[in-house]
Order: sequence, then structure tokens, then C-alpha cells
Amino acid sequence: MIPGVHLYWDGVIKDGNKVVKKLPKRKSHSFVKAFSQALLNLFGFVAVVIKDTGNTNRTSDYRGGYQYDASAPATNQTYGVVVGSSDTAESINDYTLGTKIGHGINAGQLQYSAVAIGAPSWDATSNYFVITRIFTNGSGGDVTVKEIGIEVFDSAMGYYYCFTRDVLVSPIVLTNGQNLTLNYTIKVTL
Amino acid sequence: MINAYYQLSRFNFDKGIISKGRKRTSRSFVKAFIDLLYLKMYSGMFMSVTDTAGAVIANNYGFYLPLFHCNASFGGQYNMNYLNSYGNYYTQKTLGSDYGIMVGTGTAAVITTDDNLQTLIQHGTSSGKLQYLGCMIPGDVTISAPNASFNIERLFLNSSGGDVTINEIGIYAAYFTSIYCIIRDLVSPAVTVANNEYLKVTYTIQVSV
Repeated sequence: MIPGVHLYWDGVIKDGNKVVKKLPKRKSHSFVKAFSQALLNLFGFVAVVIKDTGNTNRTSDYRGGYQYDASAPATNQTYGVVVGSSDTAESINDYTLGTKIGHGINAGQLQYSAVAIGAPSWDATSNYFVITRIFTNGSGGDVTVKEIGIEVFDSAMGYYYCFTRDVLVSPIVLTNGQNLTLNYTIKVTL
Repeated sequence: MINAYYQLSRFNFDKGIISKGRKRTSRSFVKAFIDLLYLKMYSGMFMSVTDTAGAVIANNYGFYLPLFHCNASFGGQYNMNYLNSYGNYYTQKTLGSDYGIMVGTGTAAVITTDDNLQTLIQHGTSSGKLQYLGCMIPGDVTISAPNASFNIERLFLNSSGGDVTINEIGIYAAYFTSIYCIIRDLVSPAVTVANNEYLKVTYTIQVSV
């Protein structure tokens, strides 16, 4: 494996507690421009201009990203692990998902749980942590997920940034009553 | 994914560039990098991270400070005090040679839990030492689809009177009042810096779709 920081995603579709389908771990494609800019900011480069999820350039100042928080609370579709319905190919310049699926129980919506982030683990060749969110379909019909990502909240500045975006090779169709658990793993390998 | 690359070049002002090393893949980011990134992405968390002195530091997620700060001043000089929004000075007692890109003579294999270079080359002009010049990030992110990258650079001057051999390099990052090793690499083959030569170490951090 190439050394570096790798990003993976996997998931499971359930109907209640019954597993309907496991989605095997796949390589994410991937971190996008805002993440590299956030890193630059975190390394101490002041006044980095980062495009937020609303397509507005924001200056992240010397405070160095007080927080690039991914731990969104339940019902919050603005950040954390997010899902969408666009299948436009990924680009390094992506600043948000193509078409985000909103939180709710109306047609085409999913209910967003709180995001959980597991404490870092390590072994002989890697260090990693896992970011998890559950999406439940209470819309009364099918909802198709074609893209997923991680968006974060800079609480010092009040802006949101897109760190990752993935277009799914096979869209995920959630029927009414089903839920989708998505896991992103950020993993360093030697 | 995120890749790091490094390049070591030697030069002096009479001869110009003496050798420009190959750009090599870094192996690798180590444990403190993931621990601190976790801290920054999980609001409200506290995270114990081992610093370069071997102390386990309980970190608050919410300092108004760069997480992997590596803009260090000249080796023997104290860094400018940096007043954060809590009224704390965080580089008050930090020398420029305490963090940023660092070099050493150790040859032990890199492991995930490395929290230090094995044998740090000290700042100075006596035998076996190098002068640490400032560590800098020379520019913004460069986009060359599908990649986005930026560089971190540092110059070292050998005024020791003899050769100094580099076997390991890394990045020490300052966060609040502590310093953490976030990258460590073995340099193979070793690079020998002669007296009066400069060594330039460049790390490139690259994000790719």
C-alpha cells in the first residue's frame, strides 16, 4: 500500500435491526481542495482563502481553524457526513455535494442522526479513526443516494467547508423504513 | 488521499546547487497527526497526545491556534509571542530549533507510534551540529487537477567545521505550549552536508482525488 493518509468508506443497509445489505469498504475519491487548504491553515499559513459550501470565498485567519468540526448533531444536514442525489463526477475543486438530500420525512428526504467519531486506534502499520452517521428513510417512498461526503463547521468563523466527496459507483436505494449506516475511515499507513 | 513527499538539496553560494535529491514519498505521517486531526474534527473532545519530550498532554479541541504550526524562526531565537483569542501566549518559550522541519542521525525504522526523531541534530556550530534557519510555508495551495498541494521548507547551514550526515527527517508541529512529531522519515541513502554547505529540506503535502 502507498504510504500516506487514505480515506475509505463502507456501510450497511438495515430494515429495523435486520441487515439488508452490507456495503464493503471502498477507497474514497476523495478529499477535495478545501481540505488541502484547511491543512495549509492548520500548518500555520495565515489568511487562507477557502470556498465554503455556499460557493463564497472565506478567509480563514491566524486562528488556524478553531475547529473543523464534523460531529454534527441529529437533524443537522449542514455538516458532518452528508448524502446527496447527484452523480456528477468528483473534482478536486468540489466545494459541496452536487444535490444534498435534506433532513426530514417528506418525499426525497432522509432523517439524519448525530455523527459519531470513534477515538483513534493504531496498529503496527496504521493509525485511524472512523466517522459514522445513520440515515433513516421515513419519507414513505424510495430515496436514492448517489453521492456522499464530509462537510465541516469552522465554529470560529461560522463557515462550512466540504472536505470529501464521493460519487457512488452503484447508487444506494433506501426503501421506506430502511436505514443506512455510513462509515468514513481516515487512515494513515506507513 | 493525502501524500507527503520530501526532497533534500545541497548548495553553497560559491558553487550553487551541489546536489538536488530525488523527490521521494514520505513514510510517514505518525500517530500524533491522526490524534490531533481527530481532535480538530470532533467538537468538545479532549485528546491525550504524546509530545516530543515524551509527556502525555491532554489537549483541548478549541484553542484558536494552528494545529500543526511549523513556521519556526531561526534556531537559536525565541519565536515571536503569539497572542491567541484566549489571551494565551503559546510560543513564549519555544525556540526556532524546537519545531518545524527537523533533521537527525537516527536509523531506526519508522513505526506508527514514533513521537520523536531518534537522534536529533542540535542547532549550533560545534561538531555534529547544524544551524537551523527559519521554517516556512512559501505559498498558497497549488491546484493541478486532480491534485492540490503546498510546500514546507527549511534551510540548514553546516558551520561545524566537518561533515554532518542526515539519516532521518521529520516535522515537529507546535500546538499551544507543546510540540508534536507528526511526520518522520528515514533518508536513504544518507545525505552528507559538508562544512559551509546549506541543506534545503522540502516537504510537499498533496491531496489527490
